[in-house]
Amino acid sequence: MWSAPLTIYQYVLLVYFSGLNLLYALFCCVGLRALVIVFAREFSQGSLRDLLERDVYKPVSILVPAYDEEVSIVGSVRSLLALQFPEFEVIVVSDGSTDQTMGRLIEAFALTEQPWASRQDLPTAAVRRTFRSLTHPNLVVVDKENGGKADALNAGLNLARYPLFAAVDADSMLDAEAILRATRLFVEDETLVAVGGTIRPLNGAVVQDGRVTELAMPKRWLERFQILEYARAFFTGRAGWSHFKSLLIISGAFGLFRRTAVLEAGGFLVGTVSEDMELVVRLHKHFLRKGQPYNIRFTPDPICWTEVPTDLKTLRRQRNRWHRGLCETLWTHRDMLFNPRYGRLGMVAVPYFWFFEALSPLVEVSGYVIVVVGSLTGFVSPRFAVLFVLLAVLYGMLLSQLAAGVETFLSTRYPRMRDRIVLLVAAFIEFVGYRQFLVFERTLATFQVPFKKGQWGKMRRQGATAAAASVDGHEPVGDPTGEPKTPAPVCPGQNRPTR
Amino acid sequence: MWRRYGDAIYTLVTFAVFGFETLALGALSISFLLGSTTGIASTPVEGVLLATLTSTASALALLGFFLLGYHFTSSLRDRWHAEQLDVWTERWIGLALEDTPADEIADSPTPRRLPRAAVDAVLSLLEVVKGEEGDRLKAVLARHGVDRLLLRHLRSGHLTARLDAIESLGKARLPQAFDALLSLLEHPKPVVRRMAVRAAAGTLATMTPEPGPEGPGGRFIQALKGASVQSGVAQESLLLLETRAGAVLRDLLAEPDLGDRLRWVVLETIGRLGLADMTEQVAAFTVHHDPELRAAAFRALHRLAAVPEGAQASLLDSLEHEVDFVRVQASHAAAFLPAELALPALEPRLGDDSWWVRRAAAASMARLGDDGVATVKRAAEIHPDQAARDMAVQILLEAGVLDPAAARLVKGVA
Repeated sequence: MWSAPLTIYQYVLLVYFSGLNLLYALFCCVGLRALVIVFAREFSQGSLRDLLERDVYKPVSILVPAYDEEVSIVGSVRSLLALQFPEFEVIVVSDGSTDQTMGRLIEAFALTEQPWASRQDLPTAAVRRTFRSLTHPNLVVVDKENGGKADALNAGLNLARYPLFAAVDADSMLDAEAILRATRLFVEDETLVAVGGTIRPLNGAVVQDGRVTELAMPKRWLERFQILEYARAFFTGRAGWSHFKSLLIISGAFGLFRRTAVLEAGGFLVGTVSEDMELVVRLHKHFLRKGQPYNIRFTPDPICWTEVPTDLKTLRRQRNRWHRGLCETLWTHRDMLFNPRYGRLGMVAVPYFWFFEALSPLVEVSGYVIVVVGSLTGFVSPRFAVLFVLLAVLYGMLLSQLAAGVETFLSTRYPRMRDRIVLLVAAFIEFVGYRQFLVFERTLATFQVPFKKGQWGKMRRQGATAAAASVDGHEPVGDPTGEPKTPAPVCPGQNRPTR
Repeated sequence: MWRRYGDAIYTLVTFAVFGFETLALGALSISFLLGSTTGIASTPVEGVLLATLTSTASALALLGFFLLGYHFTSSLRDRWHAEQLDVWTERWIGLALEDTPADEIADSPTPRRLPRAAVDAVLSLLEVVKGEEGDRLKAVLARHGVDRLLLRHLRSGHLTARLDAIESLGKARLPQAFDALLSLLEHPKPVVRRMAVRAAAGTLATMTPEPGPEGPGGRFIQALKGASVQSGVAQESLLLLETRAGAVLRDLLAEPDLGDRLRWVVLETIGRLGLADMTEQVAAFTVHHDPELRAAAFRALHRLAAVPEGAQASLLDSLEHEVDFVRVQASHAAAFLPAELALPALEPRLGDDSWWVRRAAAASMARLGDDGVATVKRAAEIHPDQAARDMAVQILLEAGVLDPAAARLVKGVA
């Protein structure tokens, strides 16, 4: 009686597998050609220098939402203030921090409280105090009631003076030229409303004066697997979607937006754990409804470094939150699914995210169940099952290698041959346990969506950006022996490495 | 940021690998469907699965070896290239500083193909070295046929070769490449157009001026008018004209059929370059019916730090304009009106609905000498509108007229 439905489901799984992998392959090829080759040539050092010398750049407000970030906030702000860009302001918004975040900032940057004539473009929780730095005139710090990350970003937006703003996580570090490279795109494209950059794991890196000077492979496999995941997500997936003008995610860790466009769309949505993806989807929707030309892009070059979880518990929480965020956003904008009004977004990108991202853990788990149960009951030939699982693993490795391969073309790459071999090996062993662990967590998250709406969860932090801030430098970040000084609840960004 | 060698081969390898994999997966899917009659785990289906598995493993091995090989060779190459670059840079600097005329260098015998590091070194130097020294370095390129090679690559069907050639020509600024670069402004790929217009502008900046539409400036104007490039790119190219910019901008504004978008770009560029002798031409746009152009004219005047007498009335009118960004730019430019004219017109703007207008008005008033500062101070204390008072305090703080403690006190009083 179960034979017919099971057979049909098997076919569905196989077609799903083939379809998904073909899409990944397409994104890999397109992403490589369209972005890396062109980008590497167009955005030469000379063109960036011209941008600065000819004064064509657009000034930027950098918004840094922070909640209980005493470990990393000073280092993070220092690294931002050291950016190579002629005109920018840094607006740190302490979102009702309960630790020493404000104290550390006041002390490190000689903050002085002063009244502020801010706009009220977006409603936010009450602002308690506003500070300006006596040592860095372009640093503004806002102390406000807790309202969540999106609310903090909205408060920052109310103060932002410049036409572009960057949303940067307090636990992240930007490459010195990241803003410069990202703003160049706005000069070249008037219809551009948002740009997402590449996020790379900071763990294992050597930092000097708030800058990554050398990469080294972290010692834990958990962190190595995440290096591959980030490479897969950014160098192939997002590059591909961007080429097809259907990019739905810009990481909260680093994205650059046109202020007026975001205000027009209503700012960041409060009460979601996926305010970054939600905003991008809403921007698409807003401009498509208006029939106004617009563009949302990913670029491989402006690079943001972030500390990735070093323990399973934190990783589990993070991935649970990311998956819930994805589901929340898709549900909020469910009217876009197969809606021709939204063009390729409604007909391709949103369905892809529903079926190949949101529902993928369920499909994968059911696949494992069928393989195991089918093999035990004789419904599936064990030899066939083993061959098929092996094919899936090899294909996954192929994609990982391809993505990690893009990294070899970057000037800041893992320099040692040993690291490259480790990445090759990591691509294989991530399929033995690690992947299943994440699939299980994402499956769990799928069922938790209605019950844990807007819940961030706690995250353990090694304080990588704090180390990065050390002026004498040369500190390996995320050393496995280093425990965080304060295990702090934070509102970290959505460095979601989903495709 | 990126290594520029091997990426095209890597892309080709990727295309080949995934092209093959697509065929394999396609065959697998079809055999699965056909297998529904004989059973999915039947021998033929399993055979296809095994073949797919083998092809995937081979592709993985190929990719792995390529990456390891690339990593190894690129590390060696980077080191060697850096060393060679130093050696050649030193040699070229020596040549640039010699007394040998450029013509003699270009005509001297024994041409041979230069190594990559030598070309990179001379191109890097050409970005910063100009005048006679620059000419001598350009002559080196001509002597070794690098210019002809780059021009050949400019027509290449390969995008990477073409983009590399445009970038190199942009650095070299060779007059013989000017028209070839201009012809690329009609290229279907936006990235080629963008890079070409920048390279052409940089080249024009070093060419001998020739008046008239047949001169290089005239040819550049015609190409720019017909090119489909974004305003930002057009503006950047005009800024790259350096000392030639004034003449080109003047000619552009005189073009009868110039579109509003390019007019806007010209006004912006005049302001950014601070071309004070074009103030009158800019002022003519302060009465333009298009708010974008009118605002651009005020922004340019603000950057030029001058409002001609003829534009004063239109500026005062524009402070009341219905479009907020016109009021903002007019308020900024009002800082360069006589204080007795500007202050009475700006003060009401402190109560404007737009935060940006309030800010621009207060900032301009604070720049209008002691009277202006006094007016802002008064507004901070007694202006009936809370938003106006807040903005006045903010501007006084930013101007350093008030310290934070005094500002809090003023706010308390207000």
